[in-house]
Amino acid sequence: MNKEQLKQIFIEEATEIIEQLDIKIIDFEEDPTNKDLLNDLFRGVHTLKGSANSFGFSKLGEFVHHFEDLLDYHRNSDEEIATDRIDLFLDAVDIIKGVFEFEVGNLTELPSGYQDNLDKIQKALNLGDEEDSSEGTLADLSDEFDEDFDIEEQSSKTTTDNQNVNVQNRLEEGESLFLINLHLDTDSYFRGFDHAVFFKILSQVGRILESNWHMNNIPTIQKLNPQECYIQDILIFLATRQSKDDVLEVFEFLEEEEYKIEELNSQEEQKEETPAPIKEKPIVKEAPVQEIKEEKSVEKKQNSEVKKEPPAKPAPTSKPKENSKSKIVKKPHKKEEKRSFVKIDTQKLDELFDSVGELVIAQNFLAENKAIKDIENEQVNKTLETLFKITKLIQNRVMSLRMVPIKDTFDKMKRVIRDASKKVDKKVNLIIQGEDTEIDKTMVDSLSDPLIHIIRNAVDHGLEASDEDRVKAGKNEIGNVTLRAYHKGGNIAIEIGEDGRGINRDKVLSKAIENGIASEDEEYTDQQIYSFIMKPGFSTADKISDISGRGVGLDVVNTGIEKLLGKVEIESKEGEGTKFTILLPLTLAIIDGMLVESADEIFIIPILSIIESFRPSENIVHTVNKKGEFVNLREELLPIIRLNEKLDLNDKKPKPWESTLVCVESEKGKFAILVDELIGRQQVVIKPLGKALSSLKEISGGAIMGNGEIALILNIEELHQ
Amino acid sequence: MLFEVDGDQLNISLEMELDDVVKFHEFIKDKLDYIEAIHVEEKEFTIFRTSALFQLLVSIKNTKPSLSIPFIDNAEVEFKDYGLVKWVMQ
Repeated sequence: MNKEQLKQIFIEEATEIIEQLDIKIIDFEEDPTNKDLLNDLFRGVHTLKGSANSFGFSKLGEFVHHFEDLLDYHRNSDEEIATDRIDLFLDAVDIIKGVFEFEVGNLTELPSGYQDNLDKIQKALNLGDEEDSSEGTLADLSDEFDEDFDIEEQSSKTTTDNQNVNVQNRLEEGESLFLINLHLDTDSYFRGFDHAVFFKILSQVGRILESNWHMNNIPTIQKLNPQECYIQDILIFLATRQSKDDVLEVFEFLEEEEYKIEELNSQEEQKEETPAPIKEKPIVKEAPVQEIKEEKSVEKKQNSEVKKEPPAKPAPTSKPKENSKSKIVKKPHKKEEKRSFVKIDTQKLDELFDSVGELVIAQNFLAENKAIKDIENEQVNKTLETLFKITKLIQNRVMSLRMVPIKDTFDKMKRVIRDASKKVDKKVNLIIQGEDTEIDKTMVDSLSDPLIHIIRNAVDHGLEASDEDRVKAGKNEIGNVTLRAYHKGGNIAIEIGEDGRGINRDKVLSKAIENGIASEDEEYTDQQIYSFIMKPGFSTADKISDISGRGVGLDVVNTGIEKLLGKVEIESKEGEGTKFTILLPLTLAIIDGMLVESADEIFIIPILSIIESFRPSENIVHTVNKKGEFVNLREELLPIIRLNEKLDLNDKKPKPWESTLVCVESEKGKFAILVDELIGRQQVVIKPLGKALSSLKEISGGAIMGNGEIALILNIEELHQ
Repeated sequence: MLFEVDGDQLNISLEMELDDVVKFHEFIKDKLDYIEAIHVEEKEFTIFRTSALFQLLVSIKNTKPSLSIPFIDNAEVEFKDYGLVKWVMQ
């Protein structure tokens, strides 16, 4: 693996760590006595520090190092953490995100607030540790950081020449001598690593001749935390017939600064210069990786002619049992989980998904093939049936690979709620439900922005202006915002609700008329009126705040959700609150479609948009001068859109009562699409359109049908203006 | 027993794991005044289970230097499987 590949792994894993930081901070704020959360946070930051420095991301390494110090102070202190300290943590996470972009993107400017935040962290550290005047300046802190490595260098020299000669004399034929410097971090026991583990494994790799244990800085018993490692360095003389790589493998789960290996009786002094990849600690997620690596070792052993035992990997040591004082060490026990995970490039998943799409199309070819249909051989038909079932099974399983729980997305909203409620000075309680509901991974990123906008809007405008107003309305002064995900039909529904003042229907309508979005002469349903608030530039807010009120937010929601082939529904009751429901297809790659025929062409209408289809009787079809045709469906007048005319397919004008009307609902309201015939419902694999067709706004994609022909997928939002 | 008081002497075992060390620390931290010596009960040392035990013994020694801990005081301990262990305490 070359350095660039390692860097990519670092970027990927660091992104995951950074994304989790503010979630963990907010979880900790909710449960401040839970030091496990703080330790978890610390571990993430610690890993980030080590990796950032390995790749020369010095600014990131420097900032994270100070942040780590602050976290370390708090995890070892019983001091209650005040809200402003949580604010500092969260601000630090924002800076980390910015510095990460600065480093990875080779940007020229550090994020604004970098130095300011660093100063605040330093001030907090000084306040927390006033007695230690040596940590007075940032420069000092930085020096101390650099010295982490100097200590190691010096320690390696504390073996005397006599000792070196002595151990060299004890070598047997064919053995090499390695000097290993183990410099485990203070949290190594938390992480499941103990010097004893490495001694045990090294004794299997070779013969441990001697070891020097530097026990200089062990505190007195009242200050000692037995679960923290104070042992500075251990220098181990190992005699072995195995290679340096085999010895290095023993320490592969440690941070690179935690060990150093020199081959003493080698002519060339080799120094490891290649930065080690991120060696995540053996906490929950990493455990399975270890299992996989173990399998690899076994494989290597089986394939190898060399008759030597591969070194075992260090397993986390046993931890204090539940009745011990610390809860912190429980995490590594999750390693016992039987499930294992493998990281896969999403591009490979997409390729697999495409291949399955092709398989589904090929299967449809078979199903539609007349010659095959005519075969009256039970054996052949049974085999085909089995093939179809297996294809469906594979399709479902591959689909499930792309599905991820919406939990992470919901967790990110905790920060949004916190920031928004703080800005507008409202007390808000966030209720999350259905966080295990799974959603297509490709939608996750695009979903964040719409959710953020709706939530900010809910806090700023949805909830009453003040606690007093809520109390006056007979409500608890703390407003509730609910995030809920669930399956609805074949779709995913995400609800964002609040128990605030509700939308003032009349105010929205008059504003819409004022803005020219609505007409005074027309009748609108509640749903249509509420949908006006999602029009570009629409805002009924009397004042503009930092977080909403400019009328840009909800428009972004609509655009974002449309891109995901979904739609937004709004329900509201004045005085009781408002609920936005985002309906999304299960996946962006396959949709449930209704196949319809118009002018001898096949089109697909997404099932999500269809309300019903029917053949109207002549007496309910009306033509209004200059306004076109309408159908009166249960006292609701719906415009009729002739598909053949809309798409310029031909000039025919079939009678509606001899055709089929498909009633659909778009953002602009309901309307009826006139088609010649309904063919049936089918799951179709969406194929992007080529350049020639991509300009057709009425078409959103294409799909290959069972007979090999291509059918176009209609973009309902653009069919009726 | 992994640690046991015998008069003013405490006998401990190298079989202690990290959780046992935590208990040991909890047990001994307020009783140092009554302990004069700590002995490791194993006759021969083969392996150890956690280095946390060694740092606790050194911590005890740092807290009460007069306390006799031959395992630490001798500056060197030979382990059958792990070679010669030398304590460096400046």
